[in-house]
Amino acid sequence: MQIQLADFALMMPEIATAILAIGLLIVGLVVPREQAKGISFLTVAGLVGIWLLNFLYWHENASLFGGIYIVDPYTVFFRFLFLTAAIIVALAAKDYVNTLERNQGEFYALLVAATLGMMILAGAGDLVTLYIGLELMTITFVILVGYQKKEAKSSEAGVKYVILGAMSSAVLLYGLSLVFGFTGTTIIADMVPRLTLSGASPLLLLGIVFLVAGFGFKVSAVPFHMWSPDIYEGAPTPVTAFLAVASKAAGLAAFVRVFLIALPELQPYWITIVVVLTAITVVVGNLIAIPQSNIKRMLAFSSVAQAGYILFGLVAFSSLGVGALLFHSILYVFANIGAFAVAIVVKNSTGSDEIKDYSGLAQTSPFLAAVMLLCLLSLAGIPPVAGFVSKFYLFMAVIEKGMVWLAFVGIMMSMVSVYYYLIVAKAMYLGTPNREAKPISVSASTQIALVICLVAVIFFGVYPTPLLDLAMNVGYSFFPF
Amino acid sequence: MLLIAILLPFLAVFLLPFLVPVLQRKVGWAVALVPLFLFAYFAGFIPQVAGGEPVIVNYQWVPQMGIDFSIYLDGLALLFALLITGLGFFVVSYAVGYLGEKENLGNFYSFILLFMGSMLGVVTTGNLLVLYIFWELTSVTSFLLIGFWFHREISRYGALKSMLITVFGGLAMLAGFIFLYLITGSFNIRDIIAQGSDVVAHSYYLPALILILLGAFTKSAQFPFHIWLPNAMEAPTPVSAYLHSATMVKAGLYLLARLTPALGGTPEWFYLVSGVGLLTLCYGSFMAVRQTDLKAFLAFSTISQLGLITALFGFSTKLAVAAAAFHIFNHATFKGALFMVVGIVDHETGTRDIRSLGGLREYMPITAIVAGVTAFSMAGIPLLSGFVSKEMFFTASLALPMAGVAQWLFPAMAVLGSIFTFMYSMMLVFNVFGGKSKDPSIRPHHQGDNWSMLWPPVILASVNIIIGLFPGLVEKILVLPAASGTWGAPVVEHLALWHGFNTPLLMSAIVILVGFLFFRGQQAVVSFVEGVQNHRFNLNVLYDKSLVWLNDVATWLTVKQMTGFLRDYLVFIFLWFALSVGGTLILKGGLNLTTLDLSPVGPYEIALALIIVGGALGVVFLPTKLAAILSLSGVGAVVVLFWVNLRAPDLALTQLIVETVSTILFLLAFAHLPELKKEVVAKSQKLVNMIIAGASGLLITLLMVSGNATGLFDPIIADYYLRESLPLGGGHNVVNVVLVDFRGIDTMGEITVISIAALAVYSLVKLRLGKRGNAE
Repeated sequence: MQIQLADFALMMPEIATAILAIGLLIVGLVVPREQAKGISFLTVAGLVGIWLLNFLYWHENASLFGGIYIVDPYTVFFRFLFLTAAIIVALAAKDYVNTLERNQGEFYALLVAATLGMMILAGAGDLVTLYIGLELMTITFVILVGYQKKEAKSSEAGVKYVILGAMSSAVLLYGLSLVFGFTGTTIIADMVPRLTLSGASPLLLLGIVFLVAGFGFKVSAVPFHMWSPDIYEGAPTPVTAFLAVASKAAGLAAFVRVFLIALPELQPYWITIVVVLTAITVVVGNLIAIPQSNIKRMLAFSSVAQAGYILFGLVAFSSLGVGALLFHSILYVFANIGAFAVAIVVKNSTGSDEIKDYSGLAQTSPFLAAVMLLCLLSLAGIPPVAGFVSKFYLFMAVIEKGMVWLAFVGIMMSMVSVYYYLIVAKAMYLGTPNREAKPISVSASTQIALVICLVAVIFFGVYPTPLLDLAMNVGYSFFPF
Repeated sequence: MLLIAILLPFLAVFLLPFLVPVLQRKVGWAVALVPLFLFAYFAGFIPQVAGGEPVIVNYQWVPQMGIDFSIYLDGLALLFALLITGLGFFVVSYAVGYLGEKENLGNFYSFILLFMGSMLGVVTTGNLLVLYIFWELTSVTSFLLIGFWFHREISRYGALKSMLITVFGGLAMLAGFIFLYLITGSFNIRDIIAQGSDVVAHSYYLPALILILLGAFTKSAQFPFHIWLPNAMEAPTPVSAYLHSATMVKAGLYLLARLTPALGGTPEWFYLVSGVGLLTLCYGSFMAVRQTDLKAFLAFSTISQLGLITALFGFSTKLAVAAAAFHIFNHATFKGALFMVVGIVDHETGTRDIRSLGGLREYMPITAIVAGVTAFSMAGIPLLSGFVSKEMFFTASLALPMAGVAQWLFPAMAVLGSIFTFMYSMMLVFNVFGGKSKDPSIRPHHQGDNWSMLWPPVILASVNIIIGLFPGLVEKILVLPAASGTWGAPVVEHLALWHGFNTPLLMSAIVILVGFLFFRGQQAVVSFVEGVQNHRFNLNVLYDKSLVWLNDVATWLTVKQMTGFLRDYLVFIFLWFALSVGGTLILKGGLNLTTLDLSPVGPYEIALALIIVGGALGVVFLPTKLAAILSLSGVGAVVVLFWVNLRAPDLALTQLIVETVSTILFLLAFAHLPELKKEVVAKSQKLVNMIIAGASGLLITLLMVSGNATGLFDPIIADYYLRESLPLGGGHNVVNVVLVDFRGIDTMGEITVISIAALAVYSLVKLRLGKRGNAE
């Protein structure tokens, strides 16, 4: 392995993120408490800077340090996705963080550190680097999930996340070691030739089963989804938003890279198990979302179902599938964070996450209700908001491969999802507001976050062409089949 | 320009918030200008389109998805566009009189305009995906309009029901469109029609057909998906007249007509479409007879008339298509007027119950005449437009393109359905307006006709008379261009009142005669219908049950699974592993059990293993925390003995230290935790847990053994270290050499990390102590 200085230049966004995280930590310690509000500004400014910096790397297609790290359009796309999510969450989290008495700087530092972990996960070119990224992300999230340590629910969520996170890491590691054992290399790109030599040995297939399970935990696919509702409910809502969106996308990024780049030869073997996982994820996720009365739990199950839809792109095993997957992931970022951002505001104001307390929101705070409604419609995939286009593409991708039944399951379950999203819409628009209900005031930074989500959901629904082109090109350059 | 015209209703919505406060109740007049203008605008296209030249405009939208916003205005689209805008004008004008000051007028007119725009989008677009988008928009606006009086539970129920059923159909239709795309590679309707012969021959034809028909049938309320339409009658009457009779429910018919050249003409199409249509015709008219609510009456009547038109599209002959186009026009006029009349009756008397109404002709004579004309037209009485199209329907049913049982069954069904249609049309007129008032307390609020609401139905009724006498008026400009657009080639048929003495005339005579007899003996017929169709089992019950069932399943899944206990979650996760890992091991032949590469197992090892098993069981079954912890550390201690036995003293030592430290930590931490709780778990569940736990353990063991037995790389890495540790590292203890020489940098890194961690712990402890000192 040769280490070239030029390789570091291509990792500038990661390095800058690391510096930002450490910098925020230090600033948080140094700045007096009454001026801590500036930290959120610093975080957003730093993240936006890195976001802009990332534009320099659009046309890179490089393998760094002998394949350990890869900077290709796929990596760059996911960097954008994570940074976008982090920016919106940082904006929406400001009100919540201001209510904290201490550790305000640390909150943002951890947020940025988790982002770094995700970026490494997406760019990792070998299994060990991938694992390091995963752990950086997971351990950071453990702290964030249990951030309100005096609140029992938050602490419980933290403990559950530790145990299940550790277990999933162990499972994944077991799978990685089996794959390593059979290929003799940890470099993802080098595996294909070795696998053609060794063939599909049963133990290697077992390794793949473990990998599916390990990644399944991260994207919260059924039956590894049980952690998500409990933890989503218990964690501070900004953390939940970030966890539901970015952490899932990061797990997905690694999932797709390992399975499409390292294991394409074994596709006939792993496809069965992935298809089963995808189908039950879509079915169970949507069904369980129906009886939920807490909006965070409802969104948690809906995000389980969304993970299932996104996996359609992997199942399709084509560049169209990858493109659709990327496209849906980024739209999911806007729609889901938008919905969670409204939940944050409502919770801060009314102290409740119950759907029945959203009754009449359209009359007291029409803007919040509109954002929530459009984001939910996008999640449900109703035209003309953005989710329709990407979901349509995901269905097309599997139908193209002859898996019509799977698309059907998806379509049927989309219908079910309309039902539970409509329950929230019904409460907001047809319900009568509580007598003491007042218009909810929304701080400037949260408003920016809401507007970003709203505009994205509408704009990409009405005019998806540029983003769609982009996602499809990335998909094609990543997996040109 | 054309695009702006189609989007005009959407644009007009933005003006409403400014107009409503100024004009108040009069705002309806301003709104009515939109459809009036559009009607005139579309009418301007008649000469060009009737000349056989469709208007085609293309706009790029999402090229990757094959979505272009192309507009395709041929005779068929034009007929619908004129109906939508023309009736739109009448309905909006009618609503001005119908809706009171206190209603939420802004919402009402916005929804109506949104609906109008979506409906225009459905019929004018040349792209299936755009059609789908507008199609769903009509469902959404219909949902909002049905739920307009949302404080009423029954309105909300009806709104949700119609939404769920039509959205379900819409999604099925979308799947069908995707199939069409897979066959033809295009979403453009004209491209698909151009490849019609390939479509019909393709193996995806049948699934595509069924899915698209699901969309059409749910939207057009065909049996058995008709159940949403009667509940949709909870909407204000103008809405019922417009959406649920004249336009939206005809979107399904439009889809059938539009895709006839691509999908029609096959036996599958013929039997599915005309079979369902005729069944709906008979069932709808049969059910209408027993209704007591006037609007429910009209709802079932609409269902049955839609069935008639569907059947005509199913026949797919030139004559049938022309008859369908003509009947779509006629139905829109007479049914729209009938709804408005019922709205007037409801508005003036406060009830729609047919059992308590009667003799209204004395109070509102003109209204009674309008009702009579339009109902007679629907019944197919000569000299009215409905008669002409019904004659054509009978003629078409006698000239079917398919041989077999349908040759006599379908005409028979046509006659049967028409008999009941005749009967309920008579009931509608004579029971409500004729006879004497049955309930003296129910009478109109004032004497005379309410002209503010009556003039639209009067115009519509006169259309029925004029077209009935002179069908040639619309033949060339509307009906035949629409039929040609449906057929895909010019259609030449002659519409006329008098065709001479022939079989269709005989059929009409039978309908009128038997219908009249049935009407005279209506008590007997109604009680017969009630006997056949009772409340205990019908399709509505099925719909309600399936919603309840869905909720129950979801709740059951949640209760079973999302208990909040990690323990229960692990059961599911381990079950998955047992199935997937075990399945792979067995199915793919992964078991590789050999004892060749294992160390010999002696009595000493067996004894140690037994102690470990005992210790592990002790952890599970011992009652107190302390005993469980000690039992666990006992397991660790035995592992140490294993290392000793395998002559690895350094490992044994390390393990001993780790075990000791962790036991101490355990004890320290556990002292702060509550006592172990005794939880009562059902025996069966315990058994399941035991089986899953046992299977997981067994699997891991098998996996270990198999993994050890599979040596893939030769020479194995252990040999390398054994060979090279002395020459390269200069040490006999291989483990030590590996740690400090071969992986020296790693070790250094680890030491650094541990040192930093130790420093951190130290500073934390110091901090805590310092605080305490301060407190003291």
